[in-house]
Parts: sequence; C-alpha cells; structure tokens
Amino acid sequence: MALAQIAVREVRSLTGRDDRPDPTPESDAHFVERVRGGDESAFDLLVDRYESAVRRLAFGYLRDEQLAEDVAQEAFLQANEKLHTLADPAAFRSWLFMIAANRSRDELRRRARWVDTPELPEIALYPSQEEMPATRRAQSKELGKHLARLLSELPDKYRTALMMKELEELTYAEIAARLGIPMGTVQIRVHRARLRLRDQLAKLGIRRGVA
Amino acid sequence: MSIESNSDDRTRRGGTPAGESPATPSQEVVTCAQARPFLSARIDGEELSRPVARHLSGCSGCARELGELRAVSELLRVDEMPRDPGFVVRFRQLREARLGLDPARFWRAWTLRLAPLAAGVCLATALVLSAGPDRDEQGLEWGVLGEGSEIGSRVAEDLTLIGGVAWFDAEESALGGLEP
Repeated sequence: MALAQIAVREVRSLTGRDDRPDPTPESDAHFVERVRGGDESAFDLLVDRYESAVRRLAFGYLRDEQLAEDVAQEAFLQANEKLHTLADPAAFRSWLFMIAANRSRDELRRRARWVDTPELPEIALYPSQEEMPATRRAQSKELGKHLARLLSELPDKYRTALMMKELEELTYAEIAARLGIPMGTVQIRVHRARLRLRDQLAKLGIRRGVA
Repeated sequence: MSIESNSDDRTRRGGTPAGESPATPSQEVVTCAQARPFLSARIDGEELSRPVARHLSGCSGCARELGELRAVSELLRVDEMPRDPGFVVRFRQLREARLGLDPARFWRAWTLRLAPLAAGVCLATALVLSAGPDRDEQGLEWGVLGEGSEIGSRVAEDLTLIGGVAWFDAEESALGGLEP
C-alpha cells in the first residue's frame, strides 16, 4: 500500500501533476492562474477582494489613511508584477500581506526620519466611549503619529510578531509557522513588544485611564 | 493555594527571561515573575498551563499589568475598514501609468500602433511601383528603382511582404507582453 502511494507520488512528480486539488472558481488560486494565463483583469478581482484588508494592515503600521492608501496601491502593483514568482497560488493572501507589511515597514522607517512628532498633553490611553469623544478624536491623529514613531523604533523581530498578531490576528502557531521560529519565541517577542510600547507610551505621558 | 506577589516582582514588572523562550513553570504554585511572561499569551487567548492561569486569575499585581498590556494591544488594533470601490479604479490608473513608463512595454505598444501605418506605406509604395514607369506633369520618372513594370512589381511584392511581417511581429510582440 505504502509502496503504491510512493509510486503514485513519483509518477505525479514526473508528470508534473501535484496533489493539490484544482482551484475552485472563486478561489484566489483560480484568479492567480487566470492572471498567469494572460487575463490581467482577474487581478483586479483580487484587488477588489483584498483592498480593504491591505489598507487596514498598512494603516495599522502608519496611522495615516492617505499613506496607507499609497502603500496598499504599491503593494498591489508589486504583487501584480511579481505574481509569476509566487510558488503556491493558494498562498496568495499571506504572500500579499507579507508584501504589504514589508512596504509598510519601509515607509515607517523612511517616515520616522523626517516626521516631527509634537509634544502631547497628558491624555488618556483608553478613555471610555462616553468620556470626551470629541477630544479623543482630536487627539487620535496626534497619538497616531506617536504610535507610528514608537512602532518604527521597535526592533524588527518584535514589531513583525506583534503586528502579525494585532493586525492579521494570527495565532502564535500561525506566526511561528510563517516566520519559521518556535511558538515560545513568538510569545516572548509579542510580549516584549507590548512591554516596550507600554513603557514608551508612559514616557510620553500616555497612560491607561482618564486624563 | 496562595498567590505570591512579592516586591521583587513589582520592580521587574513584566520582566521576561533573558532568552527567547519563556520558562514554562512545572510546579503547582508559580510566582509573578514566572507568570508575567505569559500575560500576552493570556491577552491573545493562547493556551496556558493550569498553574499560570490560576496565578493570573488571582493576582492583583498581575491583573494590573494585564490591563496595561491589554490597553496597548487594543490601541494597536484597527477596526475593519469599509470597502472602497474607487480603490480598484485608482489601481488600474496607476498600473496603466506605470506600464506607460516601462520602456519595453512602451515600444511594444507603439510597435503595434505603428504597424498598420507601416504596412499602409509599404502597400502604397508597392502599388505605385507596380504601375511601372510613368511621368507626372513635370516629367519626373516614378519608376526610379527599375526600368519597367517587371522590376517595379518585384519590389512591390517585397514591400508587401515587409509590411505583412511588420504587422505580424507587432501582434506577436503585443501578445507576448501579456505572458508572465
């Protein structure tokens, strides 16, 4: 039985067939194959499917809607140009998110060099919805700039693990698999990243509770 | 079972082991220092060992730290963004603009556009030459490449062929441009 399975696998590998099922008509893999076959309009359907998620990911890093839009556009362009390098069409989503995260990190680093972050008054990190919503909205933009700067100052390995957790909402096991590190390492990186951010926010006078 | 929370722990708030793996406590009773590296795992809904979970549930110092880290986590999270139908339109425009700047694609596109013109010029020249030597009103001879309609016809055939090849190449080039 085992020998028969090995033989089938060998024949499939020799004939170029693999064990993956054919992509369903609505799957990412199906659209990727269509693009590879010359139908560029199929990529637009992938853009439509993921634009919101990619903008959200970029915004999580950059805290600026216009910048997030620009980074998302660039990420899709890069994915479009490099689609032939994607080994597994079914992995399009995680591949696209990786491109978007890398572009966001690059932009974050570039921006951190020249964007000035103004002094913040002591504000509440998490006032409740009832507490001064207008004040919170006004502060959120300034807070966003500070957050972006603090994120840019985190070591890459901590930031990557943390953002995969917070923005992509992956489990530790999924992050570990994607980064090729043990789950315990993911846990400690996420934790250290949060500790650093908490301490840096406290230095800026941003603390939990009301102002 | 008692929950230990000593001053030493409070000075090392949230301290984690020096390495990149948290030491999983094996004993039944754990200290704050042993439990705190697992605070983020708790926030993220990851599975905890029973002694760590029990400690974190009952320790006020750890609960305070848990609250602070949870606030940081919530600050970083971003709500779902509404879909923007204009995004894909802007993407198409940007892609077209970029493709226009790509020299290879630029020449490919222009080759295709100019091919009919080139073919037309070749055909028109061929027709004129195939008509044989003639004189216009000013007495100029048109059949300058040959001595008669026979040579003119041969040149005309060649030019027609060149026009056709130019057209074929342009089409093939354009199709090839869509392949990965």
